[in-house]
Amino acid sequence: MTEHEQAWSDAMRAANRGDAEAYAHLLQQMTGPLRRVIASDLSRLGLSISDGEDVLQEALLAIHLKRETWDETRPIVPWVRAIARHKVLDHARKNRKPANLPLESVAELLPSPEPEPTIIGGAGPFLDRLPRRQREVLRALALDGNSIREAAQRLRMSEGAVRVALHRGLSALARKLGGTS
Amino acid sequence: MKTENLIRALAKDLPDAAAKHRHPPSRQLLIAIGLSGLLVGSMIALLLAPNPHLAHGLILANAVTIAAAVILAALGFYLSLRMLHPEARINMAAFAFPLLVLLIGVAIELMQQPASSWQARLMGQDPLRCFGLVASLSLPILLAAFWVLKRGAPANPSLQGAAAGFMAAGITSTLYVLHCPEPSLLYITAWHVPAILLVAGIGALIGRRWLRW
Repeated sequence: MTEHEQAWSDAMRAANRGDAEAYAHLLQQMTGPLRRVIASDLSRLGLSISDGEDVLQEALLAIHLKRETWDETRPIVPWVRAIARHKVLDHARKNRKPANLPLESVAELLPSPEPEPTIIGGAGPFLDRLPRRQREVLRALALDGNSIREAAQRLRMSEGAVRVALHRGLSALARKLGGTS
Repeated sequence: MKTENLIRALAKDLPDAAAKHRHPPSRQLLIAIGLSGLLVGSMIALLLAPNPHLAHGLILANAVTIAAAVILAALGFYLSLRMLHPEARINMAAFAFPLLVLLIGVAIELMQQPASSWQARLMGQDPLRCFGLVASLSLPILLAAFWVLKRGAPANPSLQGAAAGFMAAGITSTLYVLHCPEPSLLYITAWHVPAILLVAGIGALIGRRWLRW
């Protein structure tokens, strides 16, 4: 990851000044390396790497919502790495299995049909449980690819209200995924 | 939701350059503990009897208590801010330093005072009241600190909460000198230190829940 230091910190500085294009590009650039370190962390902990995409999305959400905890004068890669590690450990804690599994439950551990790997576990149904406005805004912006303005017109909201609903929806998503559920 | 869709949504949640910037957490934390400390300090000054020894200058017990408590609060403040960053490596052992200051003061006191007075010095007038006041008066400061620390991404939310607890209890112990009628470091060590540890423990428990991210 360290080879990305210069590019990532430059892009994040630009993002902090409001450059959304640089920011989207940065998050895309981070996805591959993050996916790899998360998979390796998960397998080192003896956890299924099939949950890797969920953890990746939690890490991306955390990078976004906690980006002010990166100090612009310090290297960004250790910060990204620490967030990924935190999310892996969080995932491990939530999925901790009893140390002594009774024999009959071993069958449950055999590989079952893999869930669609690129869907956050439960995020589909979770999206449905968000307040209506947040759900509609997230659908429009994330799934349909609308701009803020398009979403505002389509949903008959002000652009400010769309921004607020988006931010609240993402925060709720992060809480739900990282939370005690 | 696919990861690429999520990224699309995240990029749209970026405020533009004109958006208002929040104060840095260091400034916010100073404001939070300043205001809550003012509240706690006024409560001590207005509702509790003044420390009778302060009228005659600073006696050893008060001076050492202030020194240890200020160091404790400063360490708690510094480490609380460091821990906002997930990559920070934190060593809580530094919190032993103010305790060391206190223990040196106790040693001096024991050398100066006759052994026959130690028992009375240790127990004071009303030790449980002192314990309860220091612990409970720390809570407003602790809660104010949490309100700022929620912005952070601590690798260990329990430790972050404990550090905030040490900071809050350090501030309260400093302010409590305005009232504390006991002229003994033996007493302070026996009754303030457990109260401080209790506040740190409460901070760890709350932090574990509230500072999760």
